[in-house]
Amino acid sequence: MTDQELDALMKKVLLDAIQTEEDSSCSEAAAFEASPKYQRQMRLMLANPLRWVRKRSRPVWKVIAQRAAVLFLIFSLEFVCLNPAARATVSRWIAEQYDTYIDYVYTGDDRPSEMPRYEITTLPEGYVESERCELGLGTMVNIEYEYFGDRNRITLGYSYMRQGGGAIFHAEDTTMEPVFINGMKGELYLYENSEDLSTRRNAVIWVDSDENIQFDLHGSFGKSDILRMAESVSLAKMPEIPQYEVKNLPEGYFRAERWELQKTSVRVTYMSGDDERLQLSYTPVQQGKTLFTVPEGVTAEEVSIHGKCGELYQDGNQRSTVSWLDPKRNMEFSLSGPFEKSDILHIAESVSLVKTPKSRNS
Amino acid sequence: MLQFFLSALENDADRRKFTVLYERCHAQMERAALRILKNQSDAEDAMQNAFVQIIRHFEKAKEISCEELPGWCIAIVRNEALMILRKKKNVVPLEDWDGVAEDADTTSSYQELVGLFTRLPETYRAVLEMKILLGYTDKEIARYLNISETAVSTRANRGRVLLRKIAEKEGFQP
Repeated sequence: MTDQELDALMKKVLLDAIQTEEDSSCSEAAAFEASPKYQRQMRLMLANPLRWVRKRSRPVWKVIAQRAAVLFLIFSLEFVCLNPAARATVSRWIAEQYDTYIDYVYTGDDRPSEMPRYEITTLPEGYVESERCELGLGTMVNIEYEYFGDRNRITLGYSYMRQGGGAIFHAEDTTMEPVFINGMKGELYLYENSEDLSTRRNAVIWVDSDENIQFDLHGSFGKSDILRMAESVSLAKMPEIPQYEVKNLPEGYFRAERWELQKTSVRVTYMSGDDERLQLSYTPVQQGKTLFTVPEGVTAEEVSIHGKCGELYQDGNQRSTVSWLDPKRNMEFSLSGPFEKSDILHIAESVSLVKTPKSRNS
Repeated sequence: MLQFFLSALENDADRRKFTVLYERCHAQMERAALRILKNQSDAEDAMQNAFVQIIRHFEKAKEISCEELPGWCIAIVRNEALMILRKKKNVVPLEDWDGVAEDADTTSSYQELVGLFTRLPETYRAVLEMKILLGYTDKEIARYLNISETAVSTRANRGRVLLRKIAEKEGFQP
């Protein structure tokens, strides 16, 4: 028997062993009664598996960091010794290399900062910004660009480099090439087999040490296109959409995420320490049609938010949702969370237009 | 803050495949986790850890055939459940390989062979499942089970030798 045949038999035996155990324990097993928290996690996972993993990964990161496998500096010691700016960068950005992926580890001091609004200014024809998401308490931004056909997305991400943060890049089957993006040191990861680009994406990662921001750009494009897009990344000239926030947040809640969809609709998520969510969504009213409608079979109650007509209803999970229209601003709002009627109305009354960040030219 | 840049699950087709995988396998996985841990909260933790692994290794999941997919997913959640159990007990189990090796001499049918593998010592079976079913490297397995790479290699070799001996004695083919 060859080694391959032995492995094939082993695989069959192991799978049959699992199945045998499952069959024999089927009747005696207690019923799995999923908790609401678990059900919510599964819903989040199915909605966006990668985002879900990202959110759950902080403990894993701590474990990885403690084990500190193979540490190496991205920049050569010679370069670091000669260049003080590079030394500063290295103190914030080191990498741990594993078999199939690389951890980029941020080690600098924590520093509160409002994230600037960047964008790719030279996009391949047909691509448009479809989603912009601020995560990690506003220190990480992901922007998705979609092509309205069957091409893969382009993603631009940028993160403020702070203690405890980092990025993992799966580098299996890629080659790495050092590059400069507008004079900033970076690394280009290209799949060795260019045919892989139908399903995979090349990537470039670079650091702006002045702004203390790490960028990453992913797309199913060749080297020159990827680099051209990276070099075109600039501060957005003006905010695209008004920004509303909940002013009177319930105790223990903090702003966790902000999603912009198609540069028009926004969803802001506030979370409590025990994983409860308060969500504010708003979108311009288009051609008189409202998006936030009451689900079928649910009875809604008419309410008033700052004198504007709205509807309030509760779902089976004891979450209240209130939606209302602001004709003056031509804006439709929806707010939902695990609150009683009086509380959700109080929170809704505090939704206000906040000062939009000043734009800066690159 | 930690950001992953995974090559899989970035497009809608992959996300659909993942949803199909979940719909197909989650009930069996949940049952397996609860059977091992006998605690709903721990079983939910094992499930979530298992799906983190599945998402991280989704490139491999895409290569698994439809028939083998449930077994592959159960192998992952089983190992996550055993990890939780081990942490809770805070002990390293004593593993009797010699007893299994002795049973090999009386194993004559394929069903007995499968039964023998269900009785493999915990880390032996975990090593074989991770290596053969999940395609992890020795280094990954060592890190995961908190044993040395040599111990991983020893367990894999013993498992192979055992199977080869029985297969050649009884004429089992893949």
